[in-house]
Amino acid sequence: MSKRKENLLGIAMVMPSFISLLILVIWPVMISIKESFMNGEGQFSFENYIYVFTEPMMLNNIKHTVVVTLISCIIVLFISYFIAIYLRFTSSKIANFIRKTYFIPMFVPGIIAIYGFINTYRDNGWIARLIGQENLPVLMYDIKGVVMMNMWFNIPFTTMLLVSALSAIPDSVIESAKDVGATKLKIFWKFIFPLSYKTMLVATTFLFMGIVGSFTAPFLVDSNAPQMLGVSMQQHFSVYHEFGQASSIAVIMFIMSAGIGYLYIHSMMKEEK
Amino acid sequence: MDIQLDVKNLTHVFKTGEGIRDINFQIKQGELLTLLGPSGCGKTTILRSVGGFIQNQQGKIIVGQEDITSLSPEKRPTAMVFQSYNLWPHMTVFDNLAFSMKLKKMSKDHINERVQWALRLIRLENTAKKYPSELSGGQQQRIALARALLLNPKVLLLDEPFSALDAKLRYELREELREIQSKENLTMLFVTHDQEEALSISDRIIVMNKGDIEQMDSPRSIYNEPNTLFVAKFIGKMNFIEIPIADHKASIGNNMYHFSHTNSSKLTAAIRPEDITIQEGKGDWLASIKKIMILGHYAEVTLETEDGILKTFVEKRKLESLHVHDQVSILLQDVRFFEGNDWIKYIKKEELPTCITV
Repeated sequence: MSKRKENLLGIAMVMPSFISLLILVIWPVMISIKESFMNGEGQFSFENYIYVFTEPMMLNNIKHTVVVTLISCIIVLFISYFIAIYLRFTSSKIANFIRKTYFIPMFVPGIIAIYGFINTYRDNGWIARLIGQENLPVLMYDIKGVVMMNMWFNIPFTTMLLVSALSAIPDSVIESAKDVGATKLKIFWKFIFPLSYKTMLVATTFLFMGIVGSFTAPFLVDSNAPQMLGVSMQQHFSVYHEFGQASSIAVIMFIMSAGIGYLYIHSMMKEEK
Repeated sequence: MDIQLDVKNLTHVFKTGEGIRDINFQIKQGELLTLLGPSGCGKTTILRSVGGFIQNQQGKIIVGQEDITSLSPEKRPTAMVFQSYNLWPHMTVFDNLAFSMKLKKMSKDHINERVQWALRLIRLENTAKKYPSELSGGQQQRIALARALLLNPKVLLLDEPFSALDAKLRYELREELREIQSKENLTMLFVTHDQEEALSISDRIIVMNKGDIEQMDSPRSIYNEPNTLFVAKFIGKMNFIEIPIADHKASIGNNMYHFSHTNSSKLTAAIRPEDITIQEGKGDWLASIKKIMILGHYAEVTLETEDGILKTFVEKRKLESLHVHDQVSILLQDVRFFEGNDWIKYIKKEELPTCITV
């Protein structure tokens, strides 16, 4: 086959997926972006963005989304890293048990997990009935509920990422550090942390993007106001029928994710240099 | 000379039953002792015990005058060079080398000076700013050696440091290590499964098998006078033939060997290929040439005798007169006998009157 023909064949083989991407993703995205810059009469305007950034309810929603995302990310990362370190350096029976079971939540359908959570933790749920309603702090239909749900959904996968990063650190690296006189604390800060930090960054990116755009958990267990942006967007779209406003919320969520994506790629490139 | 490392009654048995039992040995100041054996023989266990990575069930480890048995690795006056993945991948060569001194809070000038010294010693002066991934395997192992040397260890431990390298590089590094060792008068405990490596660099070798010491001797003695059948099999090339023994006498070809006492009905005779010479005229034994394999400047010749197959080495220029299926007579220069695993000495060698000539 000539070089030219080969090139054409290559392009032809990529075409089906590219066209479906174009029709199903890129085109609607372009329409949404265009829609977000149009007023009710179909003319170009910043009306929707002015609404999102001045309306107190929307400002609260944005703040709420950022707070929930940050708190969830920090807690999930912290717990996952702790579990991963424990699993990497312990071989007790408990550790083996955790090693075999920690990813089970990934196999429970989300909606079922949420249903179970609500039944267990709401103010007249199982726990409230066991310890008395007045002894249980408000967990469901509150920011605490969403954070708990995010932990349930994200800890297993994040742990899995970190476990694989930590087990990629050879024993001889740690033993040679010990050999030259490093204490446990030094070994952690000078070796384990720097060698697993890149994966932490990957995990943070995944976590942030997943939580910023989440819908099911905030829709079912969060408070009615303030709402996370995913829920708010759905409301503007299918309850208020404000397509322009919904589109502008979508664009804002996209920009938040893109920002984190940019930071991630930037730091990766810097590392490679 | 002073004893630098003294290992007494060291025992460590793993759950699997493997491990080491009652190991005793000493290394003198400036000596290179090699632990040699097949995988699973316990050599690495001994090394890791000395380094402090294994807490032993029994025994004592004394370095100089100090009992270090219960010290953790970071407090021991030993340094270890690992098999591979030796360097810290996220640090430059300089940081790899300087880390231990930074821990000790030495001055910057002193650290710089020492790092330069170490890099000069291993002849890699221009690599200080590089990352390990930018270096070749051999360079990485040399840096690892330098890093261990910078600890000023009383005993340097090396865990098969060259096994991941190709043959040529391994050969070069071996020589370099020996050079550095004698220059700096280092005391070294070296672990390898490569007998050629052990024979070439060691002052003394400990051959290990299944957690026990089979023989501890100079390379020359290990090669020439193996004490057990295991050592004879493990070190170098060796021909083995089983011969029956009756009335304290056993014969190989034209020779009759007398023994003072034996319990079994057969012995194993071990003959080095270089101790067999093919010659014209009178010899000890009759054989026919089965195969000739050229191996460069010499050839391996396979001989068939009535007692079994023997292999010998023949120089290139002597090959011309030899052909497959030829009948030749052979002369044995040295034979070593083993009863079971143990070496057994013959008291008399007697030539039988039947004369063998071709």
